[in-house]
This record gives sequence, structure tokens and C-alpha cells, in this order.
Amino acid sequence: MHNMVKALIKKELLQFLSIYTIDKRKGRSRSVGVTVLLLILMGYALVSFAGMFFMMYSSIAPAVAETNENRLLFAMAGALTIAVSILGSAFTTYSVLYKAKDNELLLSLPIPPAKILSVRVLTVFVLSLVSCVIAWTPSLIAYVIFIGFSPAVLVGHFIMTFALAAFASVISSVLGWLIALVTGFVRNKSLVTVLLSVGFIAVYYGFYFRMQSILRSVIANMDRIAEAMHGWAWPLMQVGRAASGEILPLAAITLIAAALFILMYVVLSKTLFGVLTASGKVKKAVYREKEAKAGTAAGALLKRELMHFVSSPVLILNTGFGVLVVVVGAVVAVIKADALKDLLNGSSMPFFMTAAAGVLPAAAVSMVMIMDCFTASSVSLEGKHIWLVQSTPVPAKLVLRMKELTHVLLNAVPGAIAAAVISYVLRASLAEAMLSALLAAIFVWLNAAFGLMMNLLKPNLEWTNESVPVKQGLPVLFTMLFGFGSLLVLAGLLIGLSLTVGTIPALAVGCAVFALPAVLIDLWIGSRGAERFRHIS
Amino acid sequence: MLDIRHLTKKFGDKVAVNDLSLNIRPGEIYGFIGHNGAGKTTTLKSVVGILKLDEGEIFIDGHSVKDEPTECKKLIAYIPDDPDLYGFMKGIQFLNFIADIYGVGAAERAEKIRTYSDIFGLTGDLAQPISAYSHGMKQKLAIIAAWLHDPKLIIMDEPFVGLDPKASHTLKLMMREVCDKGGAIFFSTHVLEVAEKLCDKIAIIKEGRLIRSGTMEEVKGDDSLEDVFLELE
Repeated sequence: MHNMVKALIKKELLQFLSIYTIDKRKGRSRSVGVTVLLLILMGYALVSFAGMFFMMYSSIAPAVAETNENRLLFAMAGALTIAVSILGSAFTTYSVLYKAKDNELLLSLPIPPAKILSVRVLTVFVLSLVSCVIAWTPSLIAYVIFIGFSPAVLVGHFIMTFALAAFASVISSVLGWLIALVTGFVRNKSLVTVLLSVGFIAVYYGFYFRMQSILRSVIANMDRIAEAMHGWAWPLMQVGRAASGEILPLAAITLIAAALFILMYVVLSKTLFGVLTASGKVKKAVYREKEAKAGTAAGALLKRELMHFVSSPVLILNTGFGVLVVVVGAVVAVIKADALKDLLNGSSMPFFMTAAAGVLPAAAVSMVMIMDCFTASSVSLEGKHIWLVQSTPVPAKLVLRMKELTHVLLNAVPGAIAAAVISYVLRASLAEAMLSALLAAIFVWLNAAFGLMMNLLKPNLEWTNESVPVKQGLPVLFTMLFGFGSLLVLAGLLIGLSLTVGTIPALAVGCAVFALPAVLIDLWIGSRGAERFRHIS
Repeated sequence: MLDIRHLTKKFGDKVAVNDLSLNIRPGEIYGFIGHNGAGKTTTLKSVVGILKLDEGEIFIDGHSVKDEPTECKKLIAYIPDDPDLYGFMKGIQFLNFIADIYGVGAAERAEKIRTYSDIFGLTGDLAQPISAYSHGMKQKLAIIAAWLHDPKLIIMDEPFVGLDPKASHTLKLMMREVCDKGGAIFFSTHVLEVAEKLCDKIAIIKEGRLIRSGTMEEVKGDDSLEDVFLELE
């Protein structure tokens, strides 16, 4: 039995290390050198995160010292650590507990389910512990540097690392269970995934961009924070006291954490395998024959691309995120119109004073749209389905045109509208607004054509997960690099020409300069590209 | 209907199909048998136009696969050995997609979808996403899709794998019906009993070369097809 648990832990470890030891794209082992390099890079990333938390605690610690409430630092660090751990591990916990691909295999083996669960829960705890170490340990270093050292603090802080990890595991498991529950019952799983992911990104960036002002506010309101810690936020104060080495709160929190962790294990053991083996209670959709409508091949292919896009969270988040950004950007530009105009008017640079309002919207939208490389993975995404379009009487050129059109419809239309709206907000002329919209659309078109060409030259149909061609594909990388290069050309061209010959000629020349390569690439796609597509296998 | 002339297909140094010639006439069910890796799938994919021919020519109803690929594809339907369909579509959406691609009219597609879905017992599942289908259900959906546009030539790679006995029986009847109307079927199989009972003609391929072909009597004489096949191994 002991060996069984050891074997399961070894499997979990191998599975975790496989990210570093196996190149899933090529389906072979990485060399030792590459593995070591990847581990070093990962270590560097974790240390960098820890360093960020240390900088934060270091800026708070002197203010804490002035209040004579040193425990406040640990109280705040405790709250932050729990938040970071949950944010960092809720989705991972969901994957470990509910989405593990080997659940069925393990359940079919003569392993008691309790053993499988123990190892899964241990994995969740270790994941939370890693997050805690990154966010929590720097608070001890800042404390020692700015406030002082005592053995009691060292012991208290060390024990609290595990207690906080246990708390985080419990909350992450509850959230993981909720995610499993929601995704198990809803029909449109991809929409839920997209909403959760966008929410996560919004919270993350919201916190990241406002960190400095939050910190300033924390430091300026230390007295009020101390007051709150003694009032409604007293549990956090107990965390601070426990980490400072006070025996009673330390013992109480450790016991509560352990009890909650055991309770979580018991609840999971009663429910987890029920959830794992349940087929979901989504009602089977009933088929009712409707009046059939015949459509064109082009329409069917375009619809196919759009259906694929909206059904795949990976595609939406990785190739449609720019759309969300430009739409939000346009709305913010309208709301903060005065601040935006003041910003431009306040500059003493000639470009900002005279030409920026006319050409900046097109450049800004183009910059954001580089993120969306839909076509750059669209050929690879045909994957094992490619026989369907290759064996039917639809010209390869048409299939490719519809891929490009999908990219343009998804990105160029909102991009052009956003450019026109921002131009209007900045009081650009009608001609400038229209040309800005056109330039943004042409920029998107060029990127769509280039991405498609890259993917035709470097297709990868051998993937098991869509994220491989969408996130890790070379065509996507090349397309992004091309996008950055194009943006530099665009910026140089717009700044140079708008200052010398005016904004309207600058925008018009920009349209022509970017439309020409787009046309040339499209000609290649229609001839040689289509020929390649017909026989890609 | 199908005329394969001296087809050669290589993958790097490996010759997958070597100088293969075959002729299928209207009304014939032509079985294609051979061991794993013999070159069956490569031949079928070449006929369908998915693979580029290295040497030789293929004609479908007089049209060259090399020079008129779209014309050829209008006449055929293809079902691969493991039909990977769009998991993001519902069954009915997939059938409408295929019907749109082949330009099948609204009334005609509605009738065919109704008929074939009922025959295969798939009607109740047409509103389900294909990702929720079993292998057999996907196979049935691919068969219905293949039959939507009245193809003259149907190419199938191991079509009976994954089908339940009733669906297999239905498929055999449908194959015969196509041939009775002047169409032709070219399919690969490992199930020799099926080939023996169903096919008008048969071809045996070994290591990329066609080693026997003709009517069932010409190929097997008084022996069973299994005996002939094992002797050739």
C-alpha cells in the first residue's frame, strides 16, 4: 500500500516535470541541457515574483514600524498571500482534482480511491505552498530588515507558511469544485471559460497597474488599517500575531487550518469520485427538424470558421483579445475624452501638438491588433479534419480566402470603428477619421495575409491540443514579429509624413504602403498557397 | 468510373504505392485488401486528391484528378478510416455544411437527412455537438454526409469499423443501391468475409504493389479469400 502511494507521487512528479523534460510539440524528450535551462528560467521567474513582493513589503515595512504595530505587516502579507495563492491555484486545483486525464485509468486500477485522492490533495497543497512561499516568505525578509529579528518570529512565520497553504488549498478546492459544478451543468462551457479568464486577466492587470497607488494609499492610511485590523478585520490581525510568534493565535490558527484541511479531504472523498464519474446533468438537446435552407460554399466555409472561433476559448482569448482591448479602449477614450485631449495638448513635442490627433488613432489600433494572429494558426488548426476540405469540391483558394475574411471581419471591423471613434474624440477631421479607420483595417488585412502565408509555409497538423498551434506555433511568432516590424514602419511613416506633408497625405500613403504587400501576399495565397493547402498532410 | 494508371507515391525514400493500375466500372463494388501499411490508404487518398501523385494518372469519369481536381471531387464522396469531424458543430450543422459545399438544394437535403438519419437511428442525436458522439455515431454521420449529394463514386477506408451489425447491414444495402443506380464503390477492408460476400471485384495490394485483381472467382478460384490472402503473405 505504501508503495502504491509512492508510485502515485512519482507519477505526479513525472507529470509535473514533463513540462520541462518532454517537448510535446515534437513528441520527444528534451535534452538535459534544455531541461536544466528551462528549470533555471522557471526558478528565475519564481524568484522575480518573490522579489516583486519583497519590494512591496519593503515599501510598507517602514510605515508599519512607525505605528508600533509590527504585526500589521504579517497581517497584510497574510491577506495578500491567500489572495495570490487562490488566484494562482484555483484553476490548477480544478485541473488537478477534476480534469486530470488519468482519472479513469487510475479508477480502473486496483488502487483504493482514497489513495488517489490523498495524492491529488497533496498536489493541491504543494501548489498552494509554492504560491505561499513566493508571496509570504518575502514579508519575513522585509520584517527582519526594517523591523527586527527574533527566533519567535522565525518559527511563527515558518509554521504560518504551512497554515496559509492549508487555508489556500481549502479555498482553492471550494472554487475548483464550483468551477467543476458550473462547467458540468452549463451548455456553453467555452463562454464560461472565456468569462472566467477575462475576469481573471482584468483583476490581475487591474491590481498590477494600480499597485503603486494602492501601496501609497496603504502607507498613507496605516492608522486606519490598524484600526480595521483591531475591528472587523481581526482574523487577519490574528494571522499577524501568529506569524510574530505569539503562541495562542499560532496554535489556534494552525489547528483551524489543519481541521479545515481534513474536513476538505473528507468532503472531497465523499463527493469527488461522484463528480468524476458523473456524465453531467446537461439536458440532451432535442432535434426538431426545421425548414432547410441552402447556402453557398463560401458562406458555409465562413460560418465554419466563425463557429470554430466562438466555440474555442483558446482561440477567443489568444486571437480575439485585441478586439476586446480596442473596444474597451474606444469606450474609455469617449469617457475620458477631455483627459486625452489635455494629454495631447499638454505636450510640447511638435508631433503631438499638430498631427497626433489625426494619425494616432490608426497607429494605436494597429498596435493592439498585432496581438490577434487568427490566420497564423488557422491552417494548422485544420488538424486531422483537413481531409474534409481537401476531399470536397471546394477550391483551396476559397477555403483560404474565408480564413482571411474571418480574421478581417473579427478584427478589422471593430478596429476601424474604434479608430474612427478615437479620431472623433480627438476632434480629427472627417477625412482623417475615415482614413484612420481604413488604415487600421488595411493593417489588419496585411497581418491576416502574412499570418496565413506563414502558416501555409509552416503548418503543423499533428497536435493534440489546440493551444499548441495557437500559442506555440512558429507562424504565430513570425507573424507577431512581422506585426511589430510593420508597426515601426507605420509609426515612422506617420510621424515623418504628418509633420512634413500633413496628416491626410500621411494616412493615405500609409494605406497604399500597407495595401500593396497585402495584395501581393494574397496573390501568392491564391496560387502557390492554395496548391500547398491542397496536399498538406 | 475510376481509372488508376501506373500510380506511384513515395514518402521520402519509401515507396508506398508502386506502379499501381486499376479500373473500376460503373455498377461495381470493388474491394481493396492488404496488410497494414500495404498502401491501401495512400492509394485511396491519392484517388481523392488529398495526396499529390509522384507518377501516373488517375481519372474519375474521364476527369483527371491532377488537372481537374474540383470536377473530380464533385463526383466522389470519401470516408476515411477514422472520420475526424468538426467537434464544434452539431450533427445537423455538419450535414448542412457538407450539403452547402456540394450545392445540394434545400428540399433534397432535407429529405435525405431525414431518410438516412432515420435509417441509422441518428435523428435524435442531430442536435448534439459532434464532440459528444461515439466513434460509431461519427462513422454514421460521415456516411450520411457522403450520401447527401448522390456521388457517382464512393471511396471508403475501412467503412465497417465501429459500426454496429445493424448499421453495417444498412451500409451494405446502401452500397449495393448506389451500384444498382450506375455508381461505383471502392473500399478497403480487413474483414475478408465482408469482401467475399459484398464485392464484385477485388484487388490485393502488398508492399505497394498490386499483386492480384479481378472478379472474386478470378482472384480466389475455389479457395476462400482468406486462404488466398494468407498464401500471398
